[in-house]
Formats: sequence, structure tokens, C-alpha cells
Amino acid sequence: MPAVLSVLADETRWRILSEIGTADLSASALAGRLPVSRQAIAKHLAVLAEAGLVESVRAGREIRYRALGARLSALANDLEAIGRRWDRRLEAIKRIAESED
Amino acid sequence: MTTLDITRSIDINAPVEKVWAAITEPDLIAQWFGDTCEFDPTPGSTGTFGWKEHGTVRVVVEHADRPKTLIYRWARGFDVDPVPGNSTVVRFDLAESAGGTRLTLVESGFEELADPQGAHDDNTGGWKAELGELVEFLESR
Repeated sequence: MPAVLSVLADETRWRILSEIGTADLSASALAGRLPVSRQAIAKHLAVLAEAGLVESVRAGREIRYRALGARLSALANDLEAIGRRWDRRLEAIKRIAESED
Repeated sequence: MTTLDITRSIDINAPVEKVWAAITEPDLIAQWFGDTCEFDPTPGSTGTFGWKEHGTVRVVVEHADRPKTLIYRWARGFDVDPVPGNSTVVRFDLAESAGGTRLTLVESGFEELADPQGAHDDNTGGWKAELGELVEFLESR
């Protein structure tokens, strides 16, 4: 199971997730929307699936991909909490630097 | 830079040297971060940030260019030496701006960490909203 964070640190995978977050899409449809070959899309989808971020669903004769949210949501919460902690720290640094000696 | 970096900026009505002191002098660091601090802004030096009720985090200074840039790597767990995989990198950049200082912070290296959740969850609902929130958060930084 690759770390979700390292999986998301790739610009193409990020864009794939953004696309299929809006609608389920096949690998071919994704290749039509992104400047990446269908083969490369397939590799990225496999990595995303292994990380639990996407699943494949059959739609007639087509395999489409769907984004799964829970892990991403947990990640977003983590990053947001870290960012909020920095907001508080920077406010404190500001107070310290602006205080009279 | 990756999409996972945390970036923040703040304008401070104080000279650059005073802001530099706030982020490098142990007694001042301990006023905004933890309860105790050992820190020397010299590349390669090691230090600690301590919390009375929790423990001590180790830090290694990677780069220091007084009074402009400070970079250190700090562990995300207690009492371990920070190395890629168990730590993130914090960078402070200070720039003079309109009589004061603009402080920009970037924390990076989250993608090097082992999965912080480790949980499997089959919840497929609300993904769009969740992704929207994440993108909004990332773009708002």
C-alpha cells in the first residue's frame, strides 16, 4: 500500500483525480482530456487504485474510474489542521517581533 | 514544491532582524512553539522543541542565511532523529516590505511520510464536495 501522500504528490495523478472527481471516466476519456498517453493514464490509475483513491466500475462495454473520497478527506483534514497550527504560530511570531524590547 | 506543501505568509510591522530573532532565538521560539527550546541557527546543528506534557521533538538546521532564510527539518515523532520519511522541512523566508517584514513559511515533505491515516474506508459519498474543499484549501494557501 503506497502512502497516499506520495501518490498525490504527482501532478498527473492529481489532475486525474480532479477529472474523475467530477464524473466517472474511462482511461481513454481521461487520455483525451490530459496531455498524457493512455498507457501512462492506465499506470497512474493502477497506482491510485492501489492507494484506495479510485475504483473501477463497468458501464456497458467500458471500464470507468471513480474517485473514492474518505482517504482524501482525511488527508485534507490533516493538512488543514497543520496549516491552522502555522496560522496561530505566525500570529504569535508577529506579536513577539512587534512587541517593545 | 508540490501540491502538498503548506505555504503561509504574514506581514509584520517590525524590522527583519527582529523577526529573525523571533524564529531563531531559543527563548523567543519557546514563546510561540512548545515550552522549551534548544536551537542554534547554524547549518548542521541539532536542537529540540519540547512540550512539558508530551515530549521532545528533534530538529536539524539545514540552511541559515541571516536574516533572510532559515530551513530546518523536524521530526514528526518524539525523541527520534529527523530523516526523510519521519520528518518535514520548514522554511522561513524574510523580506523587507513597506517598512516591515513579510514572513513566508513553507512546510514540505509530507509526501515522504508514511501514510498518516493508514485507515481503509469505503465511504464513497460526498467525494466531489471533499475534493472541492481540498482544492479550495490548497489554492487558498
